Amino acid sequence: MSLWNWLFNPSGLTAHGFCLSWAPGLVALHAGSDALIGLAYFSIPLALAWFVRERRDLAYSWIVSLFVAFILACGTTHLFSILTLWVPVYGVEGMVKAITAALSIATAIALWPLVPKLLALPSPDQLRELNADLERRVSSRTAELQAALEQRDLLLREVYHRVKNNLQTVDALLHMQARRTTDPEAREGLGDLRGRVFALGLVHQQLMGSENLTTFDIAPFLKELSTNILQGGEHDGVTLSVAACPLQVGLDFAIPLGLLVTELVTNSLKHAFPGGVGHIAVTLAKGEDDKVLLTIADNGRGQSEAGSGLGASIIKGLVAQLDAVMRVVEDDGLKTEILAAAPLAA
Amino acid sequence: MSGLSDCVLVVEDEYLIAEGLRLQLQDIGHTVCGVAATARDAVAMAEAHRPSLVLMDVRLRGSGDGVDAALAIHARVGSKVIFVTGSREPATLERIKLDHPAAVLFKPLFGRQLQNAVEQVLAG
Repeated sequence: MSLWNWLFNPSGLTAHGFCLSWAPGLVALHAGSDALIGLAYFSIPLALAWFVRERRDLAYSWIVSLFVAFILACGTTHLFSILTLWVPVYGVEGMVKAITAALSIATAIALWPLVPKLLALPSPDQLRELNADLERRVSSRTAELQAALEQRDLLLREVYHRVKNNLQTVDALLHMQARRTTDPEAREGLGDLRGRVFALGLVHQQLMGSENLTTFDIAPFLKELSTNILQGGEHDGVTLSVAACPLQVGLDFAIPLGLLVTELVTNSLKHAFPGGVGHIAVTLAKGEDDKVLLTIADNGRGQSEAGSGLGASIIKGLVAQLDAVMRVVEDDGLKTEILAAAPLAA
Repeated sequence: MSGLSDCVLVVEDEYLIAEGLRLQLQDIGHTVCGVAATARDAVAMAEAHRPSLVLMDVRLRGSGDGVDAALAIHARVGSKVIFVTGSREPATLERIKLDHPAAVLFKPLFGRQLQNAVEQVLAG
C-alpha cells in the first residue's frame, strides 16, 4: 500500500457517514457543527493575529502566535471531520490531528511557566495608578521649578533695582560735585562721566522692563540714549535722527555699544558744529555674516578728534572688546562706522 | 489749580537720590519747597507749602508708603503727583494706579527724563 493510498484511501475503510448509517439528521448535525466550529476556529486566530500585529509593544506576543497556530490547526481538523463523513481520508486527517496535537501540547507546556511572568506585568489599574502618581510628581516638580524661576526673576529684578539705585546715587554724587566745581575742564569731565553713567543706567532700565530679564530690543534704547545726549548738549540747533534695526541684545553687547554711541555722539556735539547748527545720524543695521553696522555720522566740520583724550581710548578699548572694526571717514562731515559681530542672543 | 504755590515737593527717603532730584529740578528752573522722607512728613509739608507738583517715591521710611501720601495730598492739597519708583512689580504699579498719578517714572532717572515729564505734567 502506497503512502498516497494510506493518506487518501486507506483500504477497507469506509467513510465516517457509514458509521452514522447515513442518518440524514446525524450527518447534518455533525457536518453543520464541524463547519461552524471550523469557521469559528479560523476567525478567532485571524482576530488574534490582527491584534498582535497592531499592538507591537505587547509583551510575550509569541504565545499569541502559538495560540493562533494551534487554533488554526484545530479548525482544520474539524474541516477534515466533515470531509471524512463522505471520504475516508483518515491518514491525512490523522496527520493534521498530529500537527494539532504538537502545537497544542507546545502551547500548553509554554503557557504554565508564562503565567507568573504575565501576572508580574502591571495591570491596567496598576498602570493607571502609576501614571497618576507620575503625573502628580511631574506637576509638583513643575510647580517647584516654576517657583524657582519666579524666585530667580524676583532676585534678578532686585539686583537690577539695586544696580539702578546705585547708579542713580552715583549720578547724584557726580551732579553735586559738578555744581561745586568751578574749573571748566573738570566740570566738563564730570558731565561726560554722567553721560556714561546714564548709558549704564539706561541698559539696566531696559533690562528691568524686558520680559525675560536678560535681553531687550536695542532700537528704542539707542533712540532714548542718543536723544538724551543731544538734549544734554549746549546747541539747540543740532538735530538728530536714529534709525536702528530691531535687535535683541544682552548686557554684554548693550553696555559697550551704548558707551560707544555715548562717546561718538558726545564727540560730534562737542567738536563738529562750531556754529551750533547741524545734524547727527545714528544708524544700526544688520549686515552680512551676522554682523551689525553702527554708524554715527555728522555733517559738521569733519575734523577727527580720535587719537587723544579719554574718550578716544574708551572708544578704542570698547571696539576691541566687541571684536569690531572701526572706520572713520571724512565725507561731508565725520562718519564713524563700527562693524561688530551680532550678539548671540539675537 | 488755584491756591497752589509754584514749587515742587520731593518725597524720597534716600538722601543722595533726593538731593540729585532736587538739583535736577533746580537746574531746570524749579523751586524745591522741601524734601520729605516719610509719608507723614510728605503730607505735612504739602499742606504747609501747597506745591503744584510732588515727586513721590513709593517705598518710604516709616509707616505708610508713597501711595498713601499721594492720596492724602490729592484730597487735602490737590497737587499733581509724579511717581518716581524703582519697582516695576505689578503689585506696586496697581497700587500707584489707585492715585491716578500724573505720570510714573522709573529709577534711575537720568538726563532729560525728569525734565520732560515735569514739563509735560505742568503744561497739561
